[in-house]
Amino acid sequence: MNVNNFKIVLSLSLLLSSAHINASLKDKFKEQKKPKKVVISQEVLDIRDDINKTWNAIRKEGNVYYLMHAKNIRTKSNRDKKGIVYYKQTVQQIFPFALVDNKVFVPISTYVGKSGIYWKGKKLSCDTGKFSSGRYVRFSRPTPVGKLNKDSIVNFKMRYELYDSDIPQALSSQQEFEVNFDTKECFATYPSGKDVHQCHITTFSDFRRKERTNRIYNELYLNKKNLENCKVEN
Amino acid sequence: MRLILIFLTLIVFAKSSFALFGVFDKDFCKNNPEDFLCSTGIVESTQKSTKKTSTPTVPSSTQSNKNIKINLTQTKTNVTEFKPLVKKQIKYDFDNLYNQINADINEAANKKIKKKSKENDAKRTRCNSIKSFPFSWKKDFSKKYKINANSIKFLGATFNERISLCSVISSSDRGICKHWVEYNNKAPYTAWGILNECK
Repeated sequence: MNVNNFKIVLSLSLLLSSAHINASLKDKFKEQKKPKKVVISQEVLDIRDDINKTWNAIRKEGNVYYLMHAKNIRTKSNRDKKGIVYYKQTVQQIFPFALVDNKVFVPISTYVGKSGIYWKGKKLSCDTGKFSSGRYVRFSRPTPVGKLNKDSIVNFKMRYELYDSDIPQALSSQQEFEVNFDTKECFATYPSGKDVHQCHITTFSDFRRKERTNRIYNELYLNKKNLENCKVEN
Repeated sequence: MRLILIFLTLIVFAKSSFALFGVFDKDFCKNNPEDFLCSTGIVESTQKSTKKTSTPTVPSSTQSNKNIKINLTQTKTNVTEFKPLVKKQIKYDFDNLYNQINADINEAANKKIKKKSKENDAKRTRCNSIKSFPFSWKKDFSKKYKINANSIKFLGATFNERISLCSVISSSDRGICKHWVEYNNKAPYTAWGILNECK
């Protein structure tokens, strides 16, 4: 092979190799753009459906309330104004709860990680990697806190959340609450446990803050997002 | 004979056409009960159908009183039966849910206690095995408090179950000091930090 032939072969091979690289990158790009098929195990989907079915039943067959410190009430009108209650713009020291079949449930929000959570005897765990990746799975458990007695009074331990858009993160026993569902009276201790203050209960619809209640309702479900990293153990 | 038959047919046809188009007044059949159209029901049925679309007649004074009386009774019944809080029908088994979720919470708490107990056992073993200060501890402690490293003497170590920390007591130029040793929560439970507390 003379020098000229060698040059021709070399330049041709270079051209071909660069064309091949371009084609492979293009294919790679196309592959990246394709929507990835998400595979979620049937057991995980069954748990998700059961959680969502439970919250639906609570909302349908029960009533969802807010319990808040009475200092959030701006003015309480007299009987002539049909007992309309006005709330401050920023409501603090508050948490949602549900009353259904004489039982009180508080939604407690938690992240489902490797250590997992229990749902009706089954363990749901999710390996979603680092928390900052945004691939976390959040779950709100309808946590039973108490039953109504014959006088329609329920006593339970909880603590306030900061804002009305928050779902409690933990079932803390710092404060004692006493709610009378017949008279709508509510009393609670302070975290110190010494003094007692008056609290107030209202239904979500009476609170008239649709965007915030909608936000809470959305968090009462376990959605499909990131569930591909989850598994169920008995 | 044929002419009579044709004439009769025409009469019947004409009457039924009038009846169908509502030409007959409402009392036609009352006045002519034996009429062919009434006996066969052609006019009555037509009148009935026209009644539906016609505007309702004003009831007599006695009829209207009767209607008002009925309406008032109905309202009274509704008022007495009205309940401000309507109890919703319960279909879901909330008793079961209440018990199951409580069982889940207990299960998780028990597992957490077991895990904590296992961790504490390992940490306690680690803590009780401390017989002297490692050189790196002495070096850091003497540097921080500007004391002679050789003056530091190990007095003993006890594990605090409540806070899962190992308390190590020392005596030195700085006096009696407490050193809180913190261990990792996973095997091999190595020490990762010390908090010095001197009087």
